Amino acid sequence: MLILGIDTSTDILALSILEDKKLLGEYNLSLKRQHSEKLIPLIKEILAISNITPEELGGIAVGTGPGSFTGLRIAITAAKMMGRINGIPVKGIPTLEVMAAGVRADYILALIDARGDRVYYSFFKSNIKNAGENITTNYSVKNILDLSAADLDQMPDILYEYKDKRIVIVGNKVKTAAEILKKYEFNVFAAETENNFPRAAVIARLGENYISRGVSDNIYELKPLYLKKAQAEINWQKKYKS
Amino acid sequence: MEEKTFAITSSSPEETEKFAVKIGRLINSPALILLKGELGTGKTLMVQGIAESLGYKSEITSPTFNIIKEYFAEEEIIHMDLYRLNHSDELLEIGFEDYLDRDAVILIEWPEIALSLIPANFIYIELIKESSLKRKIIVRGEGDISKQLIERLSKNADSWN
Amino acid sequence: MDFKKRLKTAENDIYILAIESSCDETAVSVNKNGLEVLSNVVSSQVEFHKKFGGVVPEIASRKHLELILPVIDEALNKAGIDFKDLDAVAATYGPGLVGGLLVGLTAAKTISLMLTIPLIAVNHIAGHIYANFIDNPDIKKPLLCLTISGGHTDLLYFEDLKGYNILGRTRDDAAGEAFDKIARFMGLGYPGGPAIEKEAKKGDPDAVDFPRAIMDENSYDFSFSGLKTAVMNYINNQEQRGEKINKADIAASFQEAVVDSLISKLIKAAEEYDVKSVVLSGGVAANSRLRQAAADEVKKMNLDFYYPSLNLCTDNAAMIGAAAYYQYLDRDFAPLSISAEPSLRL
Repeated sequence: MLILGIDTSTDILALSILEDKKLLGEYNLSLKRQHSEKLIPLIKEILAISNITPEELGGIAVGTGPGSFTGLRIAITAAKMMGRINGIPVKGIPTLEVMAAGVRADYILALIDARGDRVYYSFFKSNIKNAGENITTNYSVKNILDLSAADLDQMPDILYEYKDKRIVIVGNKVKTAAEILKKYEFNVFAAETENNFPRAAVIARLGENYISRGVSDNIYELKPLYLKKAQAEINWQKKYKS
Repeated sequence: MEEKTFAITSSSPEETEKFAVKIGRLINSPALILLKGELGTGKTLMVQGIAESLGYKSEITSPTFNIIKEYFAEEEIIHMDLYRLNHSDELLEIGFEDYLDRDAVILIEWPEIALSLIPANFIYIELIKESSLKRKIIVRGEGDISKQLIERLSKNADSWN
Repeated sequence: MDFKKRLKTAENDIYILAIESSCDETAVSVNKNGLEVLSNVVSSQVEFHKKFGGVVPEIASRKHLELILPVIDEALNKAGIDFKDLDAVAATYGPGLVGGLLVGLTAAKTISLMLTIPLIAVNHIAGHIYANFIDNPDIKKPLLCLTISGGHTDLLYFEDLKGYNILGRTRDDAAGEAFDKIARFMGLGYPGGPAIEKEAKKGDPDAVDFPRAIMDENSYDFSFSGLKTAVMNYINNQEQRGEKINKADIAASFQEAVVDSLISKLIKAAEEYDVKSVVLSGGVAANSRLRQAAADEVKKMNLDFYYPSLNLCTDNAAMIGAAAYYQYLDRDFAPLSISAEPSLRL
């Protein structure tokens, strides 16, 4: 089955094609504010280079954010249309899950910048024991702390009960987060550049996992995660509101 | 920490707009500018002047009823007027936080309701009515963006008028 | 491009699916040979914007994303055709709100890619003009078209259906914008055009003598901001004096001033350019007082007068499909890299 993976939730336009666990092609291009111009031409290009016609696609995996609303709507619109025209399944995948599944670890903290010192975070656990050593394929992650927003300083409290676990941190601000958690003697590691964004190949792989198990989304209801970043670090009411 | 501010007195709407044009020249996007002032103190005039120096040529009117207007000039300009909002929850509905992440010059009239969502990097301009035409204009704010603007304004203070 | 071999000429039947998402209506149509409308589905979001008194861009974008698929499905169903029957796909690429435009445009691009059919990018304002030709395919040329809506007020001269010259446009507020603003100011609700019209029916158009825009003699440009200010000042003054505001009279007088300003330019241009027909288009063309006044004046000159039927006055996709047909015959196709142009003009 041919799976097309797309994510436009960040500045990186991520696009890949996977055929039965084999990666045929992958673009991860930093294209600030050009997703609308570039996405469809690049889909056309990656299909042509891979020698695939549009009707051969068997499923679509698309990043649902959180991220730029406008960016997210571009990829989700394209995914819905492809799903509708080809009558193929579409699976929306949260951006943080994509990043977490891109590294192999027992516990993963995934972060996205939410301005100032705030982040969106989600905490994941591997679906297999000893993920680092275990060579089983089908590695995936399970969300154990739901997506929300917090100050980086709150992370030690939030993750308190996982203090003795080996945790890999992916996404934005990973070094700062690692420093903060290390101060409280957490066993944490910061992921490297190539793992700190929602990679196209990972989206397609997760999409294949879900879709091959018969898990997909209703294309009529698929939408971005419109998240609230909650409170800013300081409420300026007192100082500026007279 | 010593708080930096810059204040001038404008004796007419024309002078207010001239000052706004000057501010427009001294900022780059992304920039977040909050405009406080009672009705008729010249908030929309400030927006017009700033937009003009960012290359926007057409008329700008207050988006009181639409809440948000988007303009495309040399920079993207987002103009909000939060006067009609009653709850900060409504900010979520209008995509307020997503706008804050845009690479744009964002100008917000009646920003009080949004103060709890604003990051520590903004310019705060207060317009105070002193007489029917005279306004005191105070520029302050948080973070590098306001520091930089105030420094630039102070340096250029002589060339103003 | 691989669709080139399959392009048709005007002798064949050409089916175009068109998408319109520039403001607060998600609309999709299927047209056959441009002017034959097989389906024209409009899903209005007006309810969601009402409480804000205007269109809120982010809310509009979210609704477009929700509605785009069901509305496409309904348009195809009503037309009784399938994706594979389409010869081209069209979408509005401006002017309008960028978030909504991107949803419609991305959907159209995806259809173009998946079905290997050409993509046609249509100017929304041109769409409003072509709306007229749907009802009146045999319209006599040359013609003059006054297109008036919430976003624009343009006076256009058409030698034939393929191109036009712009004779005049608004220098400040669009006519529809003036209606909206005055309606809000008077607390008559949103959208302003129908609200003012309804109130005006109960009032006397000669009750208040609001100023008609005075522009220089040789210009066909319009201006409504002076009128807008005059109405607001009038109401403020009355309130300050504690006098009772007669909303119906003010609405009627304001409407009359707008209608007068529009029609005087229209008639002057019709004389100067010696046209055979005169056309009204755009959302404000739905105003019955304007229609009546324009019809009276134009008929005095023995010219044909047209205005679009009500469902074509408001934003719809059939008009985009009609304009797209002429672009198709011209092979005026858009690349998949085209982006939305929020400030696009005619």
